[in-house]
Amino acid sequence: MKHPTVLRTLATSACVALLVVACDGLDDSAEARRNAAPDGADGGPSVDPTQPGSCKVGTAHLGFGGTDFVGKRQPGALGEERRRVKPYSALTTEFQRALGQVPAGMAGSVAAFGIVPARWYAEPGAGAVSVYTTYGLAFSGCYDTMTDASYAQAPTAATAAAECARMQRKFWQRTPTPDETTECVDLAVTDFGAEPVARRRWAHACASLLTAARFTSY
Amino acid sequence: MNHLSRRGFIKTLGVSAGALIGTRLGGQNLLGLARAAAPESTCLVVVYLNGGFNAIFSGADALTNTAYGVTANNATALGGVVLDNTLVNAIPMSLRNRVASVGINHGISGHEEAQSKLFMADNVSGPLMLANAIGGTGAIKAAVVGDQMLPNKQMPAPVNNVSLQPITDMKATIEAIAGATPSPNTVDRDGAAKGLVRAQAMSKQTMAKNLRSLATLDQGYASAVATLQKPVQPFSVAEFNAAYNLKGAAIDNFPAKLAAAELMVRSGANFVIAQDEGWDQHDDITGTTVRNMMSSRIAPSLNTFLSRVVEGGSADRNVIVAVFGDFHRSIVGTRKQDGTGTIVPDAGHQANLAAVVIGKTLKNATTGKTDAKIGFPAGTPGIAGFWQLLAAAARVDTNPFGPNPHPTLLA
Repeated sequence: MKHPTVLRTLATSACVALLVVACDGLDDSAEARRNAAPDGADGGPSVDPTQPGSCKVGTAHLGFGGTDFVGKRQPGALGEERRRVKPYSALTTEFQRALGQVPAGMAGSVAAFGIVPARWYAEPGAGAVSVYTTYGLAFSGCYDTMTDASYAQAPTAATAAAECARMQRKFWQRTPTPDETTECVDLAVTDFGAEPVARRRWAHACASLLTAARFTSY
Repeated sequence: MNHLSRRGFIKTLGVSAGALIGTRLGGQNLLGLARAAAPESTCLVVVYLNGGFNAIFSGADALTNTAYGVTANNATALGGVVLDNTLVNAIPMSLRNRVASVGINHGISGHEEAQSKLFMADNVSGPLMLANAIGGTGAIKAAVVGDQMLPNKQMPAPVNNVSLQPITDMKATIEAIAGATPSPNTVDRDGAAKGLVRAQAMSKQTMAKNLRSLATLDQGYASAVATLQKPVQPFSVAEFNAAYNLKGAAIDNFPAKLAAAELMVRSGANFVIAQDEGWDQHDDITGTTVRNMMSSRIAPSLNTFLSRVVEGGSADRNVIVAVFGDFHRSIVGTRKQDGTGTIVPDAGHQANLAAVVIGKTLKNATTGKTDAKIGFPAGTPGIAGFWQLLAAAARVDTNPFGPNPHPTLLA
């Protein structure tokens, strides 16, 4: 009983594989866009790993007015234009994840992020006020949770580098680049060098990370 | 703008000199050279009635005793501009000689198309082109109050780094402009500015791959930092709540939107739009519904706004208020009622529009009076002409939309 099933699975897999190969094997015409740059070193097309291969996926989708409603779709590079601004509801749980608690002013700040009527959906966006509000909430949340004795000591280049990298990894859920960590260190050590309260310096560094796009978008 | 008039403005509003440093009102001594393309602090405030704008509000005399219940008793002539009393009552006496109506023969009878094209000049945002042309030093030059986007859910691409900023919370906005009450765990404006500069720098890699999907976030960083780097302007929530009879900080009703509009005008914005929903009134064949909406929802706070911002600040500011909607309602016809299929009277969509424009650079004149069938004379300009007029009324150095085809409306 198992033998025909295996054969059918193999046959199906082979067909799928052929289709995938066929996509990349199409001519570079209006219907088929190859994942290749036009000026390869060997005179032929060179592979651009950021560009997806594509193939003719079907006929136009014409609406009642005779307009192709997907006609304006633009092919994009792999991984681009994928992130979206986190709405208020997501930020609330994200603060909980990052800080272990939701900032005290969160509930009273919903209007700053835009009011969506009940049972309606609106694509979240950002603006000066929501960005500032996010920073303010993040600052208070960071300050309130930075109760460890280490935050009573002013950040140094070494302590800030370690703490910034730790927070970036936790908040952003990825390893930061050296440049990103340097920005955080410079903020804590240099920009706030005149700030007399060490805990506020740490809180600013923390808030800056929680307002960066890696945290405020997903 | 002379120095004495600035002082008069300060006394009138009861604000300190610090309140003015962030705008051109502070003048060159405090600010250095202000990059103003208009000769004084200038702002266009749009009151957009989403769904339609009955001609009784822009040229009622064309309909006297023939349509929408217009009589000699419910309309008032402001020079040659005859408006329904419910709108006239919102206009302070001293401004009634500064009211014009402008014809917009746009040829559009669909809501989405009208809402899209009314705010475009060729393929560029009209509001942002105008805000850019006005210049000035305001951190937020263009704002939509109480909503996230323009009508038809448009978020226009920035023009020369001038972006449209949503203002949805009075308290948060005032804190950005004036600072929050200090406490150990409350952020300070200067610190927030520094932190946001670094946050933006740390976001470069992410932004580079999401130029469109995170565009509002990128613009938000820039506008927030610019706002925070301006000197403090001492506004208070209580002042606005008292003036506009507001209950909270959320900008979720029309009075709150006009309060936010005032805040933005006073903080240096060049364009503000406040929208009101529910003006697609097909069943309103006598005009009674829209008159009630105008008198109850719009007029009280519009009167407050015009009194405080346009009339009260006229010596130092050029604030132009434009009231309009998608299109006029047509002469009453019939339609099949949804669901039942019954034939019912219908106040439909007329493919033209007139806007009421109020401000010190306008006078009582009209190019927006229709005939009795709510049609315009041939040659009445379209949407481009509307923006050309608005830019001329804003007195920009160079009109980015082209020559004004409505010169008779300017004072």
